[in-house]
Amino acid sequence: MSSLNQGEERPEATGCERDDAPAAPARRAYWRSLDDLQDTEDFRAWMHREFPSDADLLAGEDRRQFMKVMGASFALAGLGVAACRRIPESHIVPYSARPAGRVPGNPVYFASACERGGVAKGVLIKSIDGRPIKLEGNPDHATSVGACDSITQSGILEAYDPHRSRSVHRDGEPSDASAFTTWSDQRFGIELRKSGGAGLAILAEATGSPSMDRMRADFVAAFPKATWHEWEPITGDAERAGTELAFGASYRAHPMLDEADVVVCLDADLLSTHPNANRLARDWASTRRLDAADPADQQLSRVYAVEGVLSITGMNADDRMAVRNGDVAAVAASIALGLGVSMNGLEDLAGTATFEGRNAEILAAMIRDLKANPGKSVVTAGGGQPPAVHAMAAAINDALGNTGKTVTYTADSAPSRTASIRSLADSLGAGTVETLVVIGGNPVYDAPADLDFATAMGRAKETVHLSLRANATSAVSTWHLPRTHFLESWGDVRGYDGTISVVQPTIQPMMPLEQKGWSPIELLAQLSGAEPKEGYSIVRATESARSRTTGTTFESHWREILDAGMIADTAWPIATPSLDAGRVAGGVSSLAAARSKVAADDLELVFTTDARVYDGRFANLGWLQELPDAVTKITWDNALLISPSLYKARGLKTGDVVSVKVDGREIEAAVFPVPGMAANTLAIALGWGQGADAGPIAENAGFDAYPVRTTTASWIADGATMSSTGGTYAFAQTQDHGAMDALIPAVPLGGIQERLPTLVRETNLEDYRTHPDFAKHRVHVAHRLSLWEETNLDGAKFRWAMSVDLNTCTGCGSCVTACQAENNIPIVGKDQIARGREMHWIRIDRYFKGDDPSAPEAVFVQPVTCMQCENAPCEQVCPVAATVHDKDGLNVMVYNRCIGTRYCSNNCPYKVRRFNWFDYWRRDPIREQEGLFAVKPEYYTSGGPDEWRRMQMNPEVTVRNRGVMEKCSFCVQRINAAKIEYKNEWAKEGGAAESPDWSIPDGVIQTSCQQACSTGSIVFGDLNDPKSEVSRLQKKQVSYQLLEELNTKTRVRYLAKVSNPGTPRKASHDDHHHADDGGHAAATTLAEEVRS
Amino acid sequence: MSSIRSDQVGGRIVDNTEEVPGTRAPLVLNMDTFGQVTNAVSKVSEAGGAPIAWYIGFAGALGLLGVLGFCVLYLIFTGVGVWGLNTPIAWAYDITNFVFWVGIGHAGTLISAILFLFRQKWRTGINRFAEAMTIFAVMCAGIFPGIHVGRVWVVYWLFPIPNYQDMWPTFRSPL
Repeated sequence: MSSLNQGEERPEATGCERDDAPAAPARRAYWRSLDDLQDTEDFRAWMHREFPSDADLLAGEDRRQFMKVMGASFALAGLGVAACRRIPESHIVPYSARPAGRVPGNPVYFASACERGGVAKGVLIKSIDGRPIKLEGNPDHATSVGACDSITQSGILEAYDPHRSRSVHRDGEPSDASAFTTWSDQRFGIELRKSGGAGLAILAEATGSPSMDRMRADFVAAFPKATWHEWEPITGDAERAGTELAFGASYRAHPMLDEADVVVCLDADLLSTHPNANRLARDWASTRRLDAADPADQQLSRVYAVEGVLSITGMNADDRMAVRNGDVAAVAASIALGLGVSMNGLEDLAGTATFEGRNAEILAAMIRDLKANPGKSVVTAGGGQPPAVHAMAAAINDALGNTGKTVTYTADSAPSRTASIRSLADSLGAGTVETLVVIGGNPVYDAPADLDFATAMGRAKETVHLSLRANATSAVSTWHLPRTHFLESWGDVRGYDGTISVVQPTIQPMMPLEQKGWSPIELLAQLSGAEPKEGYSIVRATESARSRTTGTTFESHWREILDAGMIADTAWPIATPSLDAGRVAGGVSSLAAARSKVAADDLELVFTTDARVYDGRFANLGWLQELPDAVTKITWDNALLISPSLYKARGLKTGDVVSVKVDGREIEAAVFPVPGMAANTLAIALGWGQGADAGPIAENAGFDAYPVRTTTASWIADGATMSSTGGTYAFAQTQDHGAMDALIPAVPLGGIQERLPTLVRETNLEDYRTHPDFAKHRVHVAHRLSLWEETNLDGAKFRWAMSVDLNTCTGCGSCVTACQAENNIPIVGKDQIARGREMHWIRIDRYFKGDDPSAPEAVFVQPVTCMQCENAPCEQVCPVAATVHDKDGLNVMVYNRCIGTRYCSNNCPYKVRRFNWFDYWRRDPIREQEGLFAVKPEYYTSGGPDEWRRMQMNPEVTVRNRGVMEKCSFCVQRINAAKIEYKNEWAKEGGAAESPDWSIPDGVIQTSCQQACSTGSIVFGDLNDPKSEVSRLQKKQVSYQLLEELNTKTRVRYLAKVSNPGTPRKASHDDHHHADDGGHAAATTLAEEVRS
Repeated sequence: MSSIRSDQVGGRIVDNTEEVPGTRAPLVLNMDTFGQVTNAVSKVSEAGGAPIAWYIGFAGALGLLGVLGFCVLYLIFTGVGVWGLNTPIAWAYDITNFVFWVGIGHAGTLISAILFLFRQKWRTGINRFAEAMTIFAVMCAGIFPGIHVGRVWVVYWLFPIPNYQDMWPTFRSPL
């Protein structure tokens, strides 16, 4: 019954038949991946082999290959020297007078914002000596709430991307800005103006920018016959169409998770890919903390997820129904019926799918909980669901009285992007568009497949394309214009709630002067001949008009908004729309008719929004490519995700390439089984599989899903067929790397099973209320004897420590990217990841619970980084004292002392030390390694990292060279910066004469991971301060150490996870009851252990 | 020296197998001069030069040594990653090779020591062979701890060399 006993009950486990196809699920309570669960040969080989896969780099290719490779590299090396490389313009000009308040080397922060899909996230740009080096969330911004997701942080990398477009191209040939200006003055300034813009069309990206609206108005005024279109692959159309169905006008829904006790997510990934995810995750976390004074009174919200594809929200839900995404509509209808909503068509729709077993239980529980919580619950639908589901969600919320309490609406007048690009393609096809201006985006790659946009675009006589990167669309455009990055140009944007932020540049456009570089508003101003033409003046004029201020009033207002990073009171007013049940019923009926044509065992292909490359625009950013996907842990690729049952039924193996056909269109992709997928759902993330024009990092990464995505099936394509092509593909996946549960190769499964529940300690709410100290019972520490004399840390001024709350960690990976950005962690490439050489200082472990691989009971995530052990095993074995304790008890790594014996890594029980096997910082990441002696010393294969990329490095952190070990330092550079600052302050105020000692207030030092986390799971502070947050958290009964039995005395501790399932779930409370004798406390002595 | 002894002919000792108390038996018989001794010893290796097969064998061995040299240089110039190691498995080829050669070395020492302890008179030839094997095996083994480190150029930090920074190796480390 307890998980501990389960391992012992199955002595046959190690000897049972093994097959790569999922075998009958072994009875294992916790497992890390399907390979682990099935204990496949591959998995055992990975875990237990001394030489990892492809250890022998010299094997394989023949002499001819060797000559080819060497010949090519020498030729390239020659080219590299001969061809002129563009060196960034640099001026070394000393200040004749230092600007006030500017200390060279001290970071300066600018409040700005960046926009994605028309929604802005407020950021703080950290700039050192004129170089922006890191993006952090603006704590006051309603959308970013101080957090910064991985994509937003990668904005820095995007600005310095060596493969960014830095020049104007005409018909693929290099040109310059003045040539374009001459052309546009003639074409737009004279000819088109005369004709009133006949035959002119604009295709823009979604934006909330008020200046863009103004420029658009100017443009339309100048060219009244021109047509304006908008396209975003992540359309957001369904919510607008759904609210229009429900309320008669389109709205944006704002669920308020902090107000809701019961949350039902109908295929809504609120915690990760939702445009407002940071805010939603923070609100969700506020209802998940174990902070009741008396554990018996602890309340937690309950999240139900209904989805076909395991998402981050699904991983963190208390109960999760795995149903096909198409059948989510039937679940919504069943909920509505269960709540007594009466509407035509609901019964038909609910009847299109039947739910049995656990799904039926969860559905019943969901209805029960919603009924019990009117006004304290919220039902949300995801962007991939049809409009009728959004309308039903609105109707259910209305019936429960949630509208206005747990969900509010603001008007959203954006057009249907699918309809907009369709009308453009139609007019292009009809030949009525002669001149097409594409502002941002990459429609040739990401427009719906049925529009055949590339061909349609070819019909326009002249096309102008403004983009950050010369992509597939640029390749077929007459003019390609380099776009300035948001770190380089002025602009304004709106957050999810409508709050306006001003985007301010922190660096000159990183391109030659003669290439200029345009922001969208500057380009529009130039084309429409409006004055002023500079972004700065345009944005100021917009704000001056909006705020109705001028002169000095405006100047002070302007300074204020630049300082704050947003303009107060510009959020959209909350609307109070009234439900039109008749219209909803109409939508429901037509959806029911459509769903009734789909058989229960039909395959559906679901397109998902990728939390790394978004719609494909971020595909060339190494940080994002290398970030393991939160759910699949795949790096450098997407995959066709399928359920373990389908995988088994079709006899597939991980990495088998299959062809998926929908409506006569076809894609090929490699399969990857994911626990918790609905049986007949296939899913593929958008934005991958781009060609060479997407940049060398994006090239051939993953599989392109756009060729089967059409205007009618943008998110769910029913009637898909899948057939094997016989090909195979290798994924680089990190899940089984760094496994702490199998340190000893001979450890039997029973042993692993005994260890897993001690690593991630969890229980459910009822159990927590009666056993609040459950986490302390999971392991018994026999003794506290140390082999060596322990480091004496008495009298330390600070005792830095960290607490990680597993209750609120969603596993999104923002901390991983934040750490990479702050600490100059190199990108290693797919090939190196496959060899287990990822450099991320933080890894996020993922564990499944339950004995059915198709429907895991729960999923747990656990970020693991250096535990900063007080009694550190790594320090004992370093022969050269390169890793030692400092006087604050930090386990520090002395890079210039390290000679790279890797002994510390061998002796680290947490496997969190990372070794620079090569000069990663100076070489380009390699996707696949081929050929004899394919690995070359970097100094003759490349001139080191690109000049641009060097500029991105954080000057406060050493860039590690080859042969050096590294690991989490608790952001020691931030600790020291704060120490210097506070000690200086203290000294200035009189030093010891005035106050006995100096101190750093709690919360001043934030580690980079802590700062990026939207849920506040990571808390850093000083244990010597009894009032600090981290002291409070580490004193909690649910606080525990990883591998406590090794007596490492970790400074990083976890708060055990408590979930709140609505259906009965086995408590994982183990039965090692020592509760009567009290001898289970952490400090059980050896003698006690011997007695028992 | 007054009596005539049966092992002497004309004052020269011709038989050194007989023990005469108080007199050390000569080690070399029938050789008058050092020159004769030198000739006798050197003839074995110098007369007639080496056979062709020796040259072929030597070239082969040298070639293999060259491969070693090339691979070690490749390793040093490129990074220890070429060994195919990864993070949980930070030592593989290096430690395997080290242990392998140390094992060979142990075998040589063992052979030599056993024969010596049992006072086997015929041991000398085998001992030379075994001890040579040990020496070379230890040399081979010694390469690996040296080149397995990430920064070979500072490998001397492993040794307790006095320095002005007062940095000493951690003696507690088994390395």
